[in-house]
Amino acid sequence: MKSLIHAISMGAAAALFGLAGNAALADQLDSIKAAGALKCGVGSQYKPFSFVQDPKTRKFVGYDVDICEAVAAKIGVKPELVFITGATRVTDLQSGRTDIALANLTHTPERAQLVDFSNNYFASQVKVMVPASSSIKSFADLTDKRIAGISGSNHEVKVPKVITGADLKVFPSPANAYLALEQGKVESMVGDETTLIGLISGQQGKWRILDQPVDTQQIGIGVRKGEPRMVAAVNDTLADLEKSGKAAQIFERWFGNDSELKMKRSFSFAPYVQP
Amino acid sequence: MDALASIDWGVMFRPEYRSMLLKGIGYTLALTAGAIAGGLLLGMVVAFGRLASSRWIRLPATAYVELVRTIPLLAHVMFWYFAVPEMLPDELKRALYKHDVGFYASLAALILYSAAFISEDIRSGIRGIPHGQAEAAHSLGFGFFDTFRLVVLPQALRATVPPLLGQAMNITKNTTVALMVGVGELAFVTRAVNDASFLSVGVYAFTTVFFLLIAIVLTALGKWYQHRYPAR
Amino acid sequence: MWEILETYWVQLLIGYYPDGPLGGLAMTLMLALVGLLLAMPAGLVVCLGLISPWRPLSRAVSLFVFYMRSVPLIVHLLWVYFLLPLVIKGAPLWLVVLVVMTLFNGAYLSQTIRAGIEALPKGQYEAARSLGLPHGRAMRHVILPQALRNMLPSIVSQFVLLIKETALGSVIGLHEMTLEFMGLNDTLGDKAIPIFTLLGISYFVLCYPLTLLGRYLERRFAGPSRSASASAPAAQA
Repeated sequence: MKSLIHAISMGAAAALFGLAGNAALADQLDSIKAAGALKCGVGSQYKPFSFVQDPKTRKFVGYDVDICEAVAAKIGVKPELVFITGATRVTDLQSGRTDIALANLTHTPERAQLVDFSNNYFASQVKVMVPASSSIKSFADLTDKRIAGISGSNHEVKVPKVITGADLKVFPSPANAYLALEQGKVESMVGDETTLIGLISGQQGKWRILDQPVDTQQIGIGVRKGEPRMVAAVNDTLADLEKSGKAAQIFERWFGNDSELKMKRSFSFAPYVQP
Repeated sequence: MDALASIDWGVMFRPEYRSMLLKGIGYTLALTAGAIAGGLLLGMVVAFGRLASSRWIRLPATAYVELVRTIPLLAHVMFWYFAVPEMLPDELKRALYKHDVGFYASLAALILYSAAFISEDIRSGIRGIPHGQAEAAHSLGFGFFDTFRLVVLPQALRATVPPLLGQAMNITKNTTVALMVGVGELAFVTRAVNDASFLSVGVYAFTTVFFLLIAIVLTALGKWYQHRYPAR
Repeated sequence: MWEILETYWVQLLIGYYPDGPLGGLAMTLMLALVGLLLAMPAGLVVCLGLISPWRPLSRAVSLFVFYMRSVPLIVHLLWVYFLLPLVIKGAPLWLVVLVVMTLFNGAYLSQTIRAGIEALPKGQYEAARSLGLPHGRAMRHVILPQALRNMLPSIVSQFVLLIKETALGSVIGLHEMTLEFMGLNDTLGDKAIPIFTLLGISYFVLCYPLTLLGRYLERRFAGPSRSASASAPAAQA
């Protein structure tokens, strides 16, 4: 019976693919050029990667937006922002809703089986943040406390391994998780250091980020599997940006001295290093 | 492509997802039961309110029904989850946040939403009873409450049971909106397991069958009731 | 509360268009409108299948309607969100929601249309047949025009339901009105009470006049016999 159901579902899948399969002969780079637009998967409220700075203009700006525009310019098409969430980043890439996936997609071996990654375009440590007045000083203090994580992120896997005993609550976006922390719905929050600093900009006094990192992440741009010319186009863009110094400029603008975060650039656009 | 290549119909029963699944079903049943009970109670109160002779009772009851029904359930849940706790005084707020705000907010929203529809069904049921019934009861010496309790209500309820079964089905389906505020009911678990395993077909099929079974049971219940107590 | 509206009204109205995706009230209304326009022919097709004299067809269509009505809308959305991109590469979110709404409301409307057809005096169909019209043309020229006019109030109330259904698009990330307000809440942090009150008011202002229109039409066209239809298939999220 099980194999009969299996056979029928395979048959249905084959029928569906008969419809879709013929379109896949041209590769992705060609179809992007034909369409005239590069669909970049970015977060809708992800400071400082992609966010709206001025409600009057409703224009999206940020680190990811600049990178997206650079890649689009390199290919010779318009950049088009498509909103993704932590949970949908990978499937949107696979289904074709996005052509490249940004939004802080950490390069992990598990993900590398589903999508291809470009060279690193960002690096970050994952840390835990608590209210400044909280008594939590180390991971051990987090036992039985609630910690906010972001759905679809690497934290869901790492946190239970590194911070045992914490009650992980997932939220759809960093802004959502931060709101829960502010309201007291959770006692702590886990996130990339840059995301955390971006969220609390202007209110640094109220929060404390624990020194001990949960993880160190290399972040690449996601590309659909099996599109080597696309990956090459992205990597060429990244190399150009690094060589011309624009990569450092973009970092300074959103994370470094030109921003509120005042972070130091600890990485450069370079190939992924196996940990 | 790969998503269809590997179909595991039993993915929800895998050991790593099993406990989440059981909790999910538990949440769904808890929300459903709570909303049905609360909705029936509040629905009856509101139904009587709408049939009251005093304008001061009738108008607020009508306003409640009209307001609640024109706003989507998800917006209700958002309001109860984000806005209502902030209206509470500080100590109550902090005490509330120590618990599962999502569950209580969803339950409150579900009860208020369902009650509006249930009250309409009950009201139609009561209005469907010919006025002659109440008159006959009065002329036999029954007081107002006794008329209601012994003559009108039993007949009204008999007519109302089929639509109420329909509302029970709606409530069961409506509990799925709770996933938007983090309640780990079945739809939330469905999405979580799908995101973790990428085995969408097996995951979604399980949840679909779950709801279909509930629908089949409720439909059968309805048919049995029609058979046993046919509408006269 | 109104300052929020003052600052953000453009975003709440049309999302990030034209520099970004369309969203907000515009998305909600367009989805509801197009959904209704597609659901009506879909409902007609389903209804004709339901009342078809050929048993296997009416049985199959019956099962389809039962399936659409028993499974929650969110689960329908999850299925189509997964399946549609396999058939249409890169299918945008609004298309996923549109497909679900067409199928879902088509199934519900088929019941309304069937009720509208069955409410007609049987003599109409018999007269049409005895005048020599075959089944198909009797339906097309005699039954359906009358049934559809009777159904106008139900169609208006179905439109209200569609508007409410679009809110669930936020579950798969579609930036319709509810998700825009939620995003605003994330950005502004402590303004939850005015934001979600505004959300409720927006839907009320949108839907209540339509509800009143539906009731007016019901009194004018359908006459006193239609009291049962008020809450029949209606009570959905």
